[in-house]
Amino acid sequence: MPPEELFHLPSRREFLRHAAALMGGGWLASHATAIMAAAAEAQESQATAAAFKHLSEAEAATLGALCDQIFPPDLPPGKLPGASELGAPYFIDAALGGFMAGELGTIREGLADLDKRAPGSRHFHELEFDQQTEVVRQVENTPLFGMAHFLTLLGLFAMPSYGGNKDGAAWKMLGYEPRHHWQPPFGYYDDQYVKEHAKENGHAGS
Amino acid sequence: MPAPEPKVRYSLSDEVDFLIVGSGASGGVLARELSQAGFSVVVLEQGPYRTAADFNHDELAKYIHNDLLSHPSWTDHQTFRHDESDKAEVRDGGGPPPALYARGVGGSSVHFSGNYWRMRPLDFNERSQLGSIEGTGFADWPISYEELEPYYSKVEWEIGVSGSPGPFDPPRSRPFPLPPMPIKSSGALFEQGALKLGLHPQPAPVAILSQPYQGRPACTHCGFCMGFGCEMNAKSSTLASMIPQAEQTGRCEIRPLSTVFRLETNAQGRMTGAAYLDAQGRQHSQKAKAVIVAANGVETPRLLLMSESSQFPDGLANSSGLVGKYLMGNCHSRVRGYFEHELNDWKGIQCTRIVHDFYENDPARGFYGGGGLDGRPFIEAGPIMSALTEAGAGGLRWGRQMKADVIHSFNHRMGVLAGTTSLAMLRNNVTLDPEHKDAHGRPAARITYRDHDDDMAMARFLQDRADEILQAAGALRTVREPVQPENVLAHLLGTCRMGDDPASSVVDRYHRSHEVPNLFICDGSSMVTSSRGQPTLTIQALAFRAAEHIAGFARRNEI
Repeated sequence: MPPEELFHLPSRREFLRHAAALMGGGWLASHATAIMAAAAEAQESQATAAAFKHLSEAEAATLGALCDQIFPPDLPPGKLPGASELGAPYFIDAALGGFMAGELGTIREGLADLDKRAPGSRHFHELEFDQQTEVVRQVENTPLFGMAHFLTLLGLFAMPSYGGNKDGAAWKMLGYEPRHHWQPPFGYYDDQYVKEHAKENGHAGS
Repeated sequence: MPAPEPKVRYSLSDEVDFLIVGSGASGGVLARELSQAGFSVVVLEQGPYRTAADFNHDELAKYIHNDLLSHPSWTDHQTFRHDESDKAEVRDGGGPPPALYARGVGGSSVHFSGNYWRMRPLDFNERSQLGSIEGTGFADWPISYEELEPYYSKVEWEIGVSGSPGPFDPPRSRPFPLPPMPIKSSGALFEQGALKLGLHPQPAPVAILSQPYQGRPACTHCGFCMGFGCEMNAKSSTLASMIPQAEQTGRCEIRPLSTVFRLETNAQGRMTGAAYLDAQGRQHSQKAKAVIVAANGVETPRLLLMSESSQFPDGLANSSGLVGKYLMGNCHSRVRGYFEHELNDWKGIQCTRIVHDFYENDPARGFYGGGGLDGRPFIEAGPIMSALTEAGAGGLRWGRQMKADVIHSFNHRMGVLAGTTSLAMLRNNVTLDPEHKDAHGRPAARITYRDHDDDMAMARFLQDRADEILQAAGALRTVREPVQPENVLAHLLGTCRMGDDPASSVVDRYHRSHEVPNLFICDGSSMVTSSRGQPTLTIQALAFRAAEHIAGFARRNEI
């Protein structure tokens, strides 16, 4: 599908808002070509100056804090990184120049709204983590949150080359290794199973 | 790696012996059998010619981009509705298409999980055993299990299937050619839970090589089976098994990126060939003495309906009015289970143990149906889909607890999948969408589908059993996915059913169209009943059997 068509998918916002609910029932995917383009662009962003192309620095800071609310850095800091450190905001910024371009305005409004909701004269990203959480609870059902949620997870767990999973760190958290060859035992239960069956058959497990 | 250089190229005006539409589970078998039998064969495949070297573990590309499902040069939307009273719509919000099949040489055998269950004698004559079911097209097959059995064995030996017989398996003339795949933790837990409940779990028969076979390597347990192509050629797709042998004959040309839009007939009502679009959308026409349509249970009837003419006003081979009718997709249900220790179910093939205790109909249940259960990670084997599943369960989850759950579940989760019978009904069908067309003017396939109440009841029944198995296996908790009417069909069955009576079937017992003597139809559309959830082995047994008969007809000048 040519990019201009992708910008005019009326149900996209609604779809993304409800994407998570759909996932359980055999939901597979959203729009493809475009995500790929976005991903390629995300990769480029990472590889070059890591500058944001579609969001301002201030907007990107707000988005980064939101990504971290969705997938937070562990405490104590540095133990397991959060979405922002892994590059999710770059993945999303690239998407806003690709298949999510039609949503750039909505995202901008949503980010401005987050800042507006921040108490005092501070920006959202300047709040303490728990204060940010309070603000995000108010916007859980907004298009901004639905899109950020979906794209954050997509960026984090896609191949590192797409830019949202820096050095494969999100995969390492899972214990996932990108290999093409494994040998049994794969896990605890098949290991036990094979050992027990070997015992029953009167020879040592291997 | 580029596709192999064709050993033979036919010109469009060459009248080849057979033109086959589709190179998937069925088309690949037919191409190999007929070319090895000495006939000239052109296979027109709408998708690209990918090879093992083109396959990778890019979950974003496969599950989000749908790149194995898409045509690289144009979009070809389908429309969907549950009921005829609704207007069928294109899912422009993305997601998988309603008729989910892979486009490419090898078809959906490239991205399938390879569960290869034989049907049983009862599947072929259940209507006679149970009587009719009101409001359905429940019918016997024109052939029996005994008649198809040699071809089941043939599939297993020709393509390479790993397994060992279970207690309820039908009689087999040959053992499995390869031992079962090594058990995974999901298989071990599934087996232990099932045994505690007095059930009879058995190793899953799969079209994946447990040992090197016919020059192909054994599976390396990489974990990217379902929805991915196999970079080892250890998955017994027709791309890995049949197609190279067909090409080796020097008589079979596989022509990729060739999308047939019309089957051509002459004034005598006989097939003359097929018109197709190449990668650039240019039109060509290939001549042939006979045409075999093996394009799957949605694209086959779509093509027949698109090929209407003054001679065949309701579509080709459609005097019965049944082309596109009786669509069956198998109903499904799922339960996820979470365990104390690591399963690492993302490694290895999908499925290593199955339960067939509920295969047969049981009047005590109060509804018609049967099905099977298997332990497996399903679509959330990989990191993206696993994370989306956990973060989307019961609403959008976020924050530290979601992160912890996403991380922990990846290694500690498995699923049990249930697949059921589908009752054939006229209301479930493939028609040409009256409004929605692609850029080339081809009407979209319009799919109307709502599972029979009994199919849904069977899916719920099996979900209860699946939950019990996981609990008996010691699951810390289980999560049931809501059982809903299917809106994505990966099994496309029944839409050109075989039968002896031209009034109630589209093809005869040899897959010859009742109306056009040199038109054969052989794929999931030929099936009269739906199987118990794993139809591909049966589709390929039918293809081997059809090829033998079709070759005989050709030799005897009976086409």
